[in-house]
Amino acid sequence: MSATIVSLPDQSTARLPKVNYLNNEHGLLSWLLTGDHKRIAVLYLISTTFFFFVGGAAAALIRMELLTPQSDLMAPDTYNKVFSAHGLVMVFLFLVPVVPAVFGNFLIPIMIGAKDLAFPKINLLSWYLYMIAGTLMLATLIFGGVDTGWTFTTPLSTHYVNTNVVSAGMAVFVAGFSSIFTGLNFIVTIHRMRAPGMTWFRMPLFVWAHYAASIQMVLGTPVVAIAIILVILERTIGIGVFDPTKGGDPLLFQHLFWFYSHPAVYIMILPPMGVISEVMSTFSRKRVFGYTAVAFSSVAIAVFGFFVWAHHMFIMGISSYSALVFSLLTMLVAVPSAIKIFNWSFTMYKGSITFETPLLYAFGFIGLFTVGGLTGVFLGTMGADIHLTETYFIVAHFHFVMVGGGLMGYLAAIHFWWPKMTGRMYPETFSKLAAVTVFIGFNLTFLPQFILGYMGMPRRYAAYPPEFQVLNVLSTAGATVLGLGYLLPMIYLVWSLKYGKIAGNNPWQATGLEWQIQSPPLTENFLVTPIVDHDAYDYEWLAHQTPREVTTVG
Amino acid sequence: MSEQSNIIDPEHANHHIVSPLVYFAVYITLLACTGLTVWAAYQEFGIFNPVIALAIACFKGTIVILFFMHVLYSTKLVKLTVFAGFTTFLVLIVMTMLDYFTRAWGRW
Amino acid sequence: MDSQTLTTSTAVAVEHHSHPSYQKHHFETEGQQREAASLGMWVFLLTEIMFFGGMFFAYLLYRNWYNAAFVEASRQLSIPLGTANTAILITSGFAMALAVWSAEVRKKNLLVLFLILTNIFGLAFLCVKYVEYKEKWEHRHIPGIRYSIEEFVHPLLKSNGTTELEGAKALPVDTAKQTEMFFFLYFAMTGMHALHMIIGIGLLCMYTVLAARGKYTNGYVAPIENFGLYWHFVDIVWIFLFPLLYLINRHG
Repeated sequence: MSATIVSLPDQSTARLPKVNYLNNEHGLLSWLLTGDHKRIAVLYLISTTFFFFVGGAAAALIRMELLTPQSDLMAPDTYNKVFSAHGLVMVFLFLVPVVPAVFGNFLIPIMIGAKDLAFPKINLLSWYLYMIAGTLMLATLIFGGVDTGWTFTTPLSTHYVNTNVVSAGMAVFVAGFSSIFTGLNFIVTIHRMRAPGMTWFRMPLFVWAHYAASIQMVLGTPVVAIAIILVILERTIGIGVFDPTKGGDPLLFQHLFWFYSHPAVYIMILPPMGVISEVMSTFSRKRVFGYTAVAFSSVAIAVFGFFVWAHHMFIMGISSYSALVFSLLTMLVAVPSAIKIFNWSFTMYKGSITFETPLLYAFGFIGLFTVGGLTGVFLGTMGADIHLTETYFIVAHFHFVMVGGGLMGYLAAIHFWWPKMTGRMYPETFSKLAAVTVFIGFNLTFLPQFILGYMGMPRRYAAYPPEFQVLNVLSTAGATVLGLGYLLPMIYLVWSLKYGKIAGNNPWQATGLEWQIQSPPLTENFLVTPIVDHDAYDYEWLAHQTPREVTTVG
Repeated sequence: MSEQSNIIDPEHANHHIVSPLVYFAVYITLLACTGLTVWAAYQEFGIFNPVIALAIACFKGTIVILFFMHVLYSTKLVKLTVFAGFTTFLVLIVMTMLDYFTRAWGRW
Repeated sequence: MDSQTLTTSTAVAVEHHSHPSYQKHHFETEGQQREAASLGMWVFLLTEIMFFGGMFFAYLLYRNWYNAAFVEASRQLSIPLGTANTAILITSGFAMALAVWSAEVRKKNLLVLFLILTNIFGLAFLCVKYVEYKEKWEHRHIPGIRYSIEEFVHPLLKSNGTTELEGAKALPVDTAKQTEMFFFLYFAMTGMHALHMIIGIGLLCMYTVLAARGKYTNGYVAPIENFGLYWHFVDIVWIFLFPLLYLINRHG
C-alpha cells in the first residue's frame, strides 16, 4: 500500500482560536485545582522539565569528575551521592512519568473521542503526589543525599550507609503512587470511554502503547512500594527481613525491587514507542505496517516483561538454574520489540517522506534503540553478563535504550504535538539543528562507554585506571554537546509561544482525532461526540475530507 | 446501535441485585469454613496440613469474591481483571520461589 | 460524503437525555460512570493484591526456611482471639454486603443501619487486635524493640510443671533467634491490614453520615458498592492471614 497524498487547506490562513483550554479560565487556582487533563499535562510538562535539568546537572557533575582518572573533583562518597541522585531523579521523576503524564494525559481522551479521563480528580492527585515526591527527593538531596545508587541494594542500604535512604525511599514510594493512579486512570478510560465506533483496533497505536504501560504500572509498582517499606522498617527498627545475622535474605529485597524495576524499563519505553508509531505514519503519509502486530507486541512486552526480572541479579547469588530460566525468557522478550522496529521500517517503504524534526528524532530512536536493545540481548546471555555486568557496558546499554530510545521519543512527541498543545509551530531550522546536535552528542557520549565497559571499567566508580582516560574524555565531550542539544529546545520552544507561526488544526496533515479539532483544543475537546467510522492512519479518509475553512471557535 | 453500546451499556451489564438470602448462605458457609480450618489445624495430616488450610482459605476467598463482591454477576472485563491480578501475584510467588528452591538443589 | 466537522455543533451524534444530578459531565451515561467507577476500584484492588503479595512471599520464604521457629512462635498467638476476629470480620463483611443491597433497593434506614453495623464490627476487630498487640509488647515479642527470645529457650511453665502454652517445646538459642522473623511478618502483615481497616473505618464514618442524608438511596449506589469491594478485599486478606499466622502446626 503506497502513500496517499493529502492536501488540506493552506495553514497560513489559520487563526488562533479565541476560546481554548488555556484561556477559558484564569488565575493560579484554576490551574492548581483543574480537572482538565490538558492542563494537568501542562503542569506535568513544566515540573518534569525542571526535574530533568536537576538530573542533568547531576550528570554533568558525573562526567566532569570522570575527566580524570583520580577522584579529584569530589570525594568518592560524594560521587556516590551524585550518581545516585542522577539515577533516582532521572528514573522516577522523569523517565517513568514523562511521556504518559504529559502526552498520555493530554492525548488519550482526545484520541479515543472522550471529553476527559475517567477520573479527573485522581489525575490531579497524581500530579500532586508527583510534586510531593519531587519535593521529598529534593529535600533528600539538599540534606546530604543518598549514596546507595538508585537501586537501594541491600544490605548496603539497610546496614552500611548513614545517608538519607529513608527519605529517598519515601520519595520513590510517593512517586510510585502517582504512577499507579495515572495507569489506573488510563486503563479505565481506554476500556470505558471510547467514542461510538472507536473499537480497540481503530485506536491509534499510541493508545495501545499506553494501555500496555499502564498495566505494568498498576501491577508492578506496588511490589517496589512494599520493598521500600521493608527497607525503611529495616533501617529504622531493625526487623531483620534483609539482615543475614537475623536470618534474613538480602536477595529478597532485590527480587521485590527488580520485579517492578524491570517492567519499569518497559513503562519507560512503551509510551515513546507509541509516539514513534504516530510519527512514522504521519511523516510517511502511510498507515503503520502491521497495525495488529504492533498493537499485540505492546501487550506482549507488557506481559513478558514480568517474567525476566532476575536478569539484573545474575551475579548476586541466585541459583544458576533459575538464572538459566530467566536468561532464556529474556531472549523471548526481545522479540516483540524487534517486531516493532521492523514494522516501523516497513511503514516508510513506498511512503511519501518529509524530514521534519519529529521524524528526525524517530530515526534517532530506531537506530539507537536497536543498538541498545541488541546489547541488551548480549547482557541477557548469562555467560556474557558475568563479565559485562556492573561495568560501563551496562551503563551504555541502558542509556542507549532509555535516552537514545525513550528521550528521543519524548523529544519527537514534544515537537510533533507542540502545535496541538500551544497552537504555535516551533522554528523548524533550529529544531533540526538541535536534533542533529542531540544525536551527535549522544553517540559521542555513550558509544565510548561500550568500549570502556568491555575493557573492564567498573560503573559507579569515581576513580579508574589511567588507560581508560581517553575514552572518558571523549564521553564527557559528547555529554557537553548533548547538554547543548537539550538546552536548545528549551530556548526555541519558549520563543515559539509568542513568535511561532500559528499552527491551525492539522499542520502535519495527520490522521487521528486530535488533528481534527482546533489547536489548542477546547476544554471539552469536542463540541459533539465524534462517531468513528474509519481505521487509524486512514489517509484515504483524510484525503476525502471536504476542503473546509480552517475552523476555530469564536 | 451496537456502535454506541460501549458508552450506553457496556457489555449490556445487568443490574442484577443479589438477594440477602444468598449473602446469608455465604455468611454461614464462611463461618463454617472458619470452624473447619481451626479443627483441621489440630488434626495430624502431615504434609497436607498447610495444603488444607490454604485450600479452605482459597475457597472462602473465592466465595467472597464471587458473591459479596458480585464478580459472578459482573462483566467479563471485571472477571478478566480479577484473573489478571491473581495471575500476576502467582507469577511473583512462583518465579521468585524458582530461585530459592533451586539454590540448594537437593538439600531443601 | 460530507463528513462532520468536529468543531461545529451540527448533527448531534448521541441523543442527549436528561441525566441524574450525580452524573459527572465527562460521562455520556450514568451506566458508563458506574462501570468506570467499578473498574477503577477493581484496578486499585489489583495494586493492593500486589502490595500484600510481596509480604506474602516473604512469609512463604521464611516459613520454609525457619519452620521450627515459626511453629513455636505461632503458638504464642491466641487461637480463640484469632478465630473470634475472623468471625467478627466475616460478619462485618456480611453487613457490608447487606448495606450494598439496601442502597440498591433504596432503603435509607436499612443502609445506615448496616453501615453502622459494619463499622461496629470493624472497630471490634481492631479492639481485639489491640489486646493481642499489647500482649506481645508485654512478652517482649515486638521485633527490633527489646525483642526477647527468653520464652522460646525456656518456655513458661504452669505451677504443675506443664508448659503454659500447650505443646510448647524449648528451642535452641540460634533457632529461637529466628522467631523474630515470624513476629516481624506477623506485625508487618497484620499491621498493614489494620492500617487498611482504619482507613476503611474512617471512610465508613463519612459514608454513614452522607447515607443518612439520602445521598446513596436515589440510584447513586456506586460509592457504596465500590467501598464494599474495598472492604471485602481487606476481609479476604485476613481470611488468608488467619490460617497462615495462627494455625501453623497446632497438632502433635
